[in-house]
Amino acid sequence: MMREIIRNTIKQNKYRIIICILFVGINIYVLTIPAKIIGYIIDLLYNIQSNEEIIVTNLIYLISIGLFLVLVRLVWKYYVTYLPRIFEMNIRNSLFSHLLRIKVSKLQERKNGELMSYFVKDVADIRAAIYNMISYGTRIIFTLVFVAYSMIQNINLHLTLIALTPLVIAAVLTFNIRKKMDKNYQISQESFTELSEYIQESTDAIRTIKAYHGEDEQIKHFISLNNKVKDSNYKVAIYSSMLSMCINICFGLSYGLTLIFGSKLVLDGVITVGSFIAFNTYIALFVGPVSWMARVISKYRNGKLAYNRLESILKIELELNDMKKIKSHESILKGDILIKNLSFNYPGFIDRALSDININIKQGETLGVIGKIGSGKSTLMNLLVKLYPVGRDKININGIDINDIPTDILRENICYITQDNFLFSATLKENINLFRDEYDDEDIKQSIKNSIIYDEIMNLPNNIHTVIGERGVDLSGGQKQRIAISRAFLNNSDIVIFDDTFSALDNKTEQKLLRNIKKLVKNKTCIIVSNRISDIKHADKIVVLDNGNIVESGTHRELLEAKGTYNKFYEEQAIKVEDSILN
Amino acid sequence: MKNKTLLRTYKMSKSHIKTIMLVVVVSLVITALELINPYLIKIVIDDYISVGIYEKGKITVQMIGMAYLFIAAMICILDFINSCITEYVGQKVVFDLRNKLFKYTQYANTTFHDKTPTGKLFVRIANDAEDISALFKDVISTIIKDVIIIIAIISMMLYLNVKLSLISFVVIPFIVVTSYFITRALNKAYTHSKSIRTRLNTFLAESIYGIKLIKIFNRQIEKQHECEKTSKEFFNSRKITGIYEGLLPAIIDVLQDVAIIIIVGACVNKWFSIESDVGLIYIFIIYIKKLFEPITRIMDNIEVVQDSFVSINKIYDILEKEEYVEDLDTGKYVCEFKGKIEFKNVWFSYDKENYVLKDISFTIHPHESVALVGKTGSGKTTITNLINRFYDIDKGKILIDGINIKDINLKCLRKNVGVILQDPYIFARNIKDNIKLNADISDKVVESSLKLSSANNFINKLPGKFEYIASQRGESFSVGEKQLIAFSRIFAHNPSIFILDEATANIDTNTERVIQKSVDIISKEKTSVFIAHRLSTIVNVDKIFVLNQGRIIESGNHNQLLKSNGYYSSLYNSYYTTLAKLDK
Repeated sequence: MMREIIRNTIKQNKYRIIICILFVGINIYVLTIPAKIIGYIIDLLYNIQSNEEIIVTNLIYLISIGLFLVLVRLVWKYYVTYLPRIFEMNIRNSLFSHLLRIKVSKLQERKNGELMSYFVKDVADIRAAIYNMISYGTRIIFTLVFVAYSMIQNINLHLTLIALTPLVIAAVLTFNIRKKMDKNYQISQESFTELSEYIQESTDAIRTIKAYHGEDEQIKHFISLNNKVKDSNYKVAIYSSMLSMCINICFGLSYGLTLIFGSKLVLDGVITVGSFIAFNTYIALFVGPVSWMARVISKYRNGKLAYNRLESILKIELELNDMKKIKSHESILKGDILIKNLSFNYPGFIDRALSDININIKQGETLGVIGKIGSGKSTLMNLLVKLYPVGRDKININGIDINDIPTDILRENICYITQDNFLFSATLKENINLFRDEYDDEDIKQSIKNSIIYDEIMNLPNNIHTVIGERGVDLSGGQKQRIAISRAFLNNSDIVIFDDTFSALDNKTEQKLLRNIKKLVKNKTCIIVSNRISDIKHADKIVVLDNGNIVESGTHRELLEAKGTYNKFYEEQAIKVEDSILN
Repeated sequence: MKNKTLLRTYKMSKSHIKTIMLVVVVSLVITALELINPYLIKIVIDDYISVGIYEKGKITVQMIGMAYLFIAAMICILDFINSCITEYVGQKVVFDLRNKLFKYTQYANTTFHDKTPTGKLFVRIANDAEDISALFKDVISTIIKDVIIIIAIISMMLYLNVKLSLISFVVIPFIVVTSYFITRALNKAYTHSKSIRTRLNTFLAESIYGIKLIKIFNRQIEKQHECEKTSKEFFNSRKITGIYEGLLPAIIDVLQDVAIIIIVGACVNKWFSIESDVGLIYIFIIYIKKLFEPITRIMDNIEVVQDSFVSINKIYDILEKEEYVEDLDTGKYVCEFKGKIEFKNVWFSYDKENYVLKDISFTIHPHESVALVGKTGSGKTTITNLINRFYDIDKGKILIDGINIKDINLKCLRKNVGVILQDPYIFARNIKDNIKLNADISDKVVESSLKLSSANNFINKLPGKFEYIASQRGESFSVGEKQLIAFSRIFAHNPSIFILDEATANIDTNTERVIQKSVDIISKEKTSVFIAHRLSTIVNVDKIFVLNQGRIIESGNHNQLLKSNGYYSSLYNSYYTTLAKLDK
């Protein structure tokens, strides 16, 4: 997968890559010329009178090369920045597209923070690796070739060997120091992440901390984490200083040796003073490449690791992989739902989340689902929209096994309002139409009227175009729930599911909303999941879940008469009230 | 403003002044050594090579070479020592600032936290403090040294040849101007692209967080488009920076060439009757090159300095506001409360303008249970926030056991007042520590409190049971489960006064009944205050206060209030009729 993305990007940009590398080469080659010219000019200076003209010509030559280099550098720099970003963009887009299609069951194993780090850290690491290779890697190679060639060709082989020996030492030393530095850098990053998480937690939880007077303990722990950050940062800094010290000492050695042996060569008449000075300039051209070498290698290594991590993500199965096997292509599903002997385990858990569930709902009916925390209510709903895989012939919708219905068509036909009322930092309108533009403002307004949040939204600065989270627009839990519920009123699918979506509403609003929902689902299939009897008692059929089993089912009346679990719930919620009134 | 910034910078670094002075002195030595080395080469060229001798007055070329080597090594070592010292100082300053800031946020009162978004605090502690370390790394070690180098090179050049120096300095204004403008344009481009990157990352983070929603509503294509669009925008904002990045060094090199041409041209044509030898030209070329480096570096660092000053101001703007800091040390140490709560004509507002509570007076006796009833915004939660002094009142008095709560040590007060909030916070630690919250509580007590809240039912199913480490913000738990943990917390801490703020909203009736039993047992010995939407949960309390728009409009027990046919009975009846309708 990653290989394809990289290969395609290379294919798309092959001319840019060629131009880029070509210009890096030209750049490095041209860089060696001024050194030669300056050396030449200095030789000419020993006899100014007779050489005046040649000196002027060479000066003009020098400045024209300088101007030419400006052009070369701009082209090269442009592509060197451009290309890694193209790779970055393509990788990010493909990764995102893949993530949107990954099976939820596979996704649950990974934390949100971990997924985010693929986008932020790993994609950036790959970009950095590519950047380092095409920007520094190419320059290192070209410098080694062109500059060393110029030194040997124009000046002297022995001097070149003597001068370059310390540079080889520098390169070896930097590799070793760099390795240690990278290791400490990783530690410092980790300890910084730890510190960040702690800050986040401590500020988010400030009320809890204060209520339990834990301020001093928090501070004590913070200081120890902070200390770790300080120490690891310091170590990284020391290694980095050591790195530049080594490079500088080796170059100092190289210059010093050149001075000793070069001056001897000049005195012996082997080379000219100009060549001797040019040679010094050539050595200066090596400063960059020698200090970059270790970095390029370490960035490449990081990039490789990131590449493998992303590869493992891209290998995760997609939801739509089952497309080939799918027979049905009906795009509109009627709301007959038949659940037969359905059992389910979450991957990795031994206990059954659901066992032997049998439910039959016909189009137009409403099903109520009630049960304790962890009784399997939401799990059942998740299975209906294929968030987790189910076996064959367990769930039929509209007479078709859901395994035979393409996932997107299934979900298009089921409007599932979940328990967590997550909203995007986008406009309210976008949060209701969920970024699909087929509804106009009037549709949205109608839907928020139905979900009893119209007045509150219209009072906001930009009504339905208000951006959530901006300028102190903060919504309460109940408001968020109602915004999520408005999505159901906008949708015209034949199956609607409300999964515990009324918990933060007060009695009056809840009753009004339930009346509107009743109108909405008149000819649709509706499933209401709730803890409260008042939400579900109007349902045509009610099932009571306990520990993944259906322990009772029937209508409100039937269940009350059965005097079982449901009746107990009811007594808790209603009879108690009645009794106290009668007293 | 500028003075204030400097004062703050001084305050921040005053304990390190001596070390900084040391760094400056070492920098002076390094600079001197760095200037001597090219001079040695000049000597070799002029006095030895050009003349054609190996030895001059017992000093050989080799000896000068060795001296060169020695000096070069000295420079490197001193440089290394210097950067170790500045790094240390920088890290230490950041360390201290972070500690101070964190301490501040912990001791700051709730009003401060209401006004300051957590994101902002996070940026102050994590990023702004980090920016300041750059000030030390770049300013103290680099800028000071660079200024010294510039001065030294200029004086050295003037010493060697005044006329030639003055001519070659012509290029300096050009370097300053071009690097200033290009750096500014580059930084502007960076800032622009950073803001797009932030947007892109927010988008990605939200998409990951809301991935289930996107899948359920089949919005993959819409989100994919948005991703591609924002990604492209970021790409476009970035690609131009390459040109700027390339432009500056290219222009600097051209200016260097120009300087060399001027130097050589002046010598060749004997402008202003300049007399020179080859060694002098060589050393001028080297010096002028050496002069360019620090100038561009300083231009580069101006931005860093500005940024760090901005960060320093942001940080000290927080630290210097002492009015928000809570006093946790003074006050009467009252360890055991009997639990009598009195409100005497209490007025309270969050903003000193709009009163949320108006002239509230009531008394709750020890071991009584009381419920606060009213619509959203009537002031129920506010009352509970006043009892543990999350906020201080504007007028009136609040007494516990007859003592004004302002006179009670805050830690003691909060130890004795236990609150369960609507959305309890779960830390990313194990369940046990989440219940202990650093207090001295034995494992046995933790276990029994888990039983009391019936939280043990779901905790026993977790891998590792109460050693199970919760994910960040307790995301792996449902709100109901979080509330059960919060109940266990309060049972374990066993305060004299209980406050339950709609604590059972997301708990199913069965579990609620279990908790209710435990609460009933405990509340017999304690004073308890309940807030609830669901009237069914409060019919058994001793006293109900009905609140409307910040005032208590009715009070009494359930039956009394029903008989009085007031606001409470209308609230109650509306709930009851909806429940009863179906039965009839």
